[in-house]
Amino acid sequence: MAEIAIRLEGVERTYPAPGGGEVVALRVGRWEVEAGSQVALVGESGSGKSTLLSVLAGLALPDRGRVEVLGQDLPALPEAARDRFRGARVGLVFQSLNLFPALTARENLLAAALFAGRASREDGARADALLERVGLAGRARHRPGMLSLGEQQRVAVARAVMNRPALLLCDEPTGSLDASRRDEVVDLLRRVAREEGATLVVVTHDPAVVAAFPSSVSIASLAGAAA
Amino acid sequence: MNHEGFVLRSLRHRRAATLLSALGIGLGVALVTAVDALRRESRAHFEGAALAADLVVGPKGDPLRIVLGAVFHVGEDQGTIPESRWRSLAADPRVARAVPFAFGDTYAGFRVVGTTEAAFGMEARHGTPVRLAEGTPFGPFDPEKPGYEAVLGATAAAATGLGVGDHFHAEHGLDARADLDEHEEAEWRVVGILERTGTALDRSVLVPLEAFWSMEGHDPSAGKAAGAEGEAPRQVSAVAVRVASPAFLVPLFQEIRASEDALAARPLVEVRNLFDLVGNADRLLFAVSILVVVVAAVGVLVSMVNTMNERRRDAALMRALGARRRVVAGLVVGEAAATGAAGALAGLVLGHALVAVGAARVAEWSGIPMRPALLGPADILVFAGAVALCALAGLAPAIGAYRTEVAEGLSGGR
Repeated sequence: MAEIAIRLEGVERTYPAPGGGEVVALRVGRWEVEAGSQVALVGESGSGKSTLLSVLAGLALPDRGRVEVLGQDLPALPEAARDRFRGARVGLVFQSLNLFPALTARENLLAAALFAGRASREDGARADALLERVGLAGRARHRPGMLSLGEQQRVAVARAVMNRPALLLCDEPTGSLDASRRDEVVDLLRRVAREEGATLVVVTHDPAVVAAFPSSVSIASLAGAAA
Repeated sequence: MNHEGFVLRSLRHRRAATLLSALGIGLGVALVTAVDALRRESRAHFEGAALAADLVVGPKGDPLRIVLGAVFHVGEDQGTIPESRWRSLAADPRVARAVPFAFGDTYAGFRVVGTTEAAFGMEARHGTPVRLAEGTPFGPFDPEKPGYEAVLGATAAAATGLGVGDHFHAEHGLDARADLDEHEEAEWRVVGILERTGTALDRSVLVPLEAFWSMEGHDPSAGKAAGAEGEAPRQVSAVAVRVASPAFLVPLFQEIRASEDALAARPLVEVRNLFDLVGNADRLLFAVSILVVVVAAVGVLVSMVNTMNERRRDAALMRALGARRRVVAGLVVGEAAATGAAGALAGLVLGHALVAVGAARVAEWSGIPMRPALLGPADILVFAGAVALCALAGLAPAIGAYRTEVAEGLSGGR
């Protein structure tokens, strides 16, 4: 039986509504993702995709339900433990504003190890190797302002796998790119996740991105899935 | 890269704001340093000069004025005491040295001080003996064959341009603003110039007491032997006394105070009383300079709040990478503290450089020699205070960063 990387059951996350009452931001009946698989999570704006990623990364807690990621019952962990878990086992890529503007491409990778509390002597070599793998060996000393959007996303992908995560979560990673850059980044994500042995979940509303993945799931369908 | 490296890179990225914030702190700290040095040195200067004598004996009146006049050459003439008072003190076995001073004349604004050879054996200030830089002390005065010899203080010599062998005529009176009459009957010859002492002695023209008395208008019995029958007694303005043992100080002090013709003042006590008296103004000046640092720290806060969107974004990224909230907040406080440290360090260097460069001008203007110190306990306090103040200013943005949620932070944009 395949190992399960993500298991959600009866998850609900609500926010207070401006006029009183509550708004349901996320509702998932039951959802499981096998370890090592690559899944596109499809949904329109406001469908709860980003909330779901926050819950999976341990950045937000559900109001109810079970969230098990890489064998960890996340809601049961205190915040500090969830921070440690995220730094060590989860890589995140966002749509934009992914990089520290004050740091070079190489330093942005080193920051991943620093903030995960896993800085070591091997970090420099690992960062150089990753930049080479994403085709940016010659841009290591460039700051984000000197890189194109596509290059910035490639640095973000390299940084997301810097700490060898078992789960790679991406929130609209190609949302600000043109078609050719989009395909390049999707290919890169899939290749790097495969090479690192990480489970890949990409949130998108772009049909072209969905088409590039072997499996996809609609966030709307998760709400109705039996718990 | 470590956390400190991250802070430094962040500061470098916002270099214009960092430099302006640090500049504000630096100027404030430089002001505090310079004001503190001036306070410390002026107090040390006055106390050092006061320690040159255990007692100053003068006419009945205000002891502070007696000390200011005799030790610092400040203020109006306070009157005189009989020559016999000086002579009895000089003969007292409890007294190691009694140096008389007679005031009344000036030359080019510098006081002409009638005194004795004993002045060359005293201390100008605590630990600084009176020494000749060139020439010789004046010799004994012979009324039958008057030779008016004078020894100039270092400032008086430099300002007047007089050297050994030069001649001058003194003027009668102490008020430099008044139109004074010249003593045409006596032409003084410069025989020596004193080493600089950083005291009122530098601005003095020392002449033999007997010669001083011999000049017109100085004494009813000018030029005659002391104590001759039917003649008014000769006078001195004050006597600086060094006791033979500290045990004699209080009895002698009380004895003179109880007398009818003289008053004894303890210079150190009077100087400290004076500093207590003017202490409020002193403290106010210091408080204003501290306030400048506080305002500069508010500048650090404003600068950080202005870049809050960018900071929230950075905080969100750090959190996404696994940083704990307190680490995120700590880095913001660290950035503010580092700005304060850079500014404070520059301010200390600038403050001491100002003191060093301005020392000569301050000494010339106020007579207070400034001794530049590289690093004192006060500097460490000022540095620590400025850093702590800036760290405090960084608390509000740090709390903002602490509370940042990743989703919010990354949707804010720049």
